[in-house]
Amino acid sequence: MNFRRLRALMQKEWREMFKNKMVLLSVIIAPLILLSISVFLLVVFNNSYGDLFAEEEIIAQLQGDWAILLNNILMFFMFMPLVIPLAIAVYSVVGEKEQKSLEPLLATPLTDLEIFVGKALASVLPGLLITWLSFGIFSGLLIYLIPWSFIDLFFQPPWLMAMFGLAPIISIFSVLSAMAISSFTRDTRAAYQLSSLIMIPFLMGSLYYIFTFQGLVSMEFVFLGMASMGGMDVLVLLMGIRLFRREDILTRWN
Amino acid sequence: MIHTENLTRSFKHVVAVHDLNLHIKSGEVFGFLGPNGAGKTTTVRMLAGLIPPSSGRAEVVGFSVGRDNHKIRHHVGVLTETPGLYEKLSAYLNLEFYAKLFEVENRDQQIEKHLTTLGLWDRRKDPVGTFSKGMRQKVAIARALLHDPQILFLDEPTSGLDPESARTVRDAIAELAQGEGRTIFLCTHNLHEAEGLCDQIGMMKQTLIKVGVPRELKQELFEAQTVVEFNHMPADVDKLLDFPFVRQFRIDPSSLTMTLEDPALQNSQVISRLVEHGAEIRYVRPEEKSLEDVYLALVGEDATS
Ligand SMILES: Nc1ncnc2c1ncn2[C@@H]1O[C@H](COP(=O)(O)OP(=O)(O)OP(=O)(O)O)[C@@H](O)[C@H]1O
Ligand SMILES: [Mg+2]
Repeated sequence: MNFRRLRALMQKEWREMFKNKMVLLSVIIAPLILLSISVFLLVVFNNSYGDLFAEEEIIAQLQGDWAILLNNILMFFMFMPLVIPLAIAVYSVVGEKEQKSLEPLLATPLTDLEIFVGKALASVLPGLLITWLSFGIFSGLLIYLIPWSFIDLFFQPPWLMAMFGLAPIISIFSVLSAMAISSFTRDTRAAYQLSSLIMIPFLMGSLYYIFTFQGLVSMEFVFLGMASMGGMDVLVLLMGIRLFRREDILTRWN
Repeated sequence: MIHTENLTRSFKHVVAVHDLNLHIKSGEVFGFLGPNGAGKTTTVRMLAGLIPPSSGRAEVVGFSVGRDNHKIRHHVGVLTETPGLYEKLSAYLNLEFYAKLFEVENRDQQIEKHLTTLGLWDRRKDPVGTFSKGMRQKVAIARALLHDPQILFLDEPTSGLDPESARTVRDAIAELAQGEGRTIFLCTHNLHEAEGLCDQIGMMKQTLIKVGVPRELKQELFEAQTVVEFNHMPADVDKLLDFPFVRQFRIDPSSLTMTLEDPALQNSQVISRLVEHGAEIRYVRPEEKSLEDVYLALVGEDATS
């Protein structure tokens, strides 16, 4: 793996991303919406239960609802690494097809693995960065929304583990799936819609947890998520490496 | 530079290239001609290290095709059938990206040199999407040259261009062919182009049908003919042509086209006799066979695309 070539490829992907309004928009809009809903929920919750954060007994009484709220917000944050890189990943494959730029690219010293890894990283990294940035902004807003003494509710180990351990794994899954799906189609919209379907199992799993267990997300659950998503990552990785072979790109992709 | 031995490539249901044997010397401009689907692009893809052959062997810049494809790609440049540029990026950024991939040393100078040569330096900051077809093709040519490849593969560089752009692209190729002793492998449908640019021509249809320098190819396939144009044609010309060495002739209203055994020796005898019998000759010239005739004769009817 030659890192200079890898970096050149990633830089090219990002340059194209910044010139593509559709991609840029979907990269910005998703976290914006999710962040706004999180803040909105927190405010509404607080208002409708009186001053939620004023007394500890009230929190204790509202254990169920309270957990639902927190878990919901966490779910939104785990949605970001799933959604944000999707458009970038789809475009990084379909865009090359549309512009017929794959063949000249394949005529360079780039290896098959460099192309695959470069494109994957070029999507995963901004997805994660924006997720963390959103979490940073959210944390900043918390200072204005709730009293200091309750802030550490949002910085429990399961939350941090989810943010920095689970989110990258989710992001890799999302990107590799989107790239694999995009390798089968020439149509950006179709690729995007098909790729979006990968959100469904994730969404159903999360909602099931939130409304069944009604307790705060535990470390075990985050680890379970990491293990299962990690397994999926390995699967899509193996599939991706098989799909991104020079010869197949030239002769089988359409 | 390029040697192939029974190079073969098949896809699921078709044999695209079959038992191809090629030998191209360093510095040569080789024209690769063939009808649609003849296997030209497939050959280029194999020789440029993009896809492995199904069987047979080939050596390009001293490396073995298939096994050393990665090394081959460092040393060759490819102009693919479509320019395949990044439309939203400027000409400069398109080239810069490729210069980085090839780890070109003095990147900026190289880019400036090629864009200037091709007359695009002033437009370097414009997105390629705003360029005409000819301009795009030139950017793609510059892209293929950035790393000073030892072999340049050009896959139909002028197809789809209007005559004017085709000419500027052709001139650019002619210039490349002149200097630096670079080997050029030129796929084309355009016979005139091949004739004008190439040292050697290979006719291809799944396998190599014929190789030769353009002039020899013509001679080999068509007997040389002499055309005599008259201001005044004598009566009964056909009777005057009863030399034993006249193989064939055709008489048109004001001209005569004939095939002699050895025109260089025998033309004067025929002309003398014609003049003796009152011919007023305007012009005598050898009949120029176009390569097109050779090509059509070789590859048959389905070459008329
Ligand atoms: N990926 C592929 N899968 C299946 N068949 C292919 C593939 N690529 C090429 N072929 C077949 O191989 C043959 C040669 O194709 P190729 O593109 O090399 O021809 P060509 O000489 O470049 O034609 P053209 O002048 O149209 O560009 C054709 O019959 C084509 O259908
Ligand atoms: Mg072709």
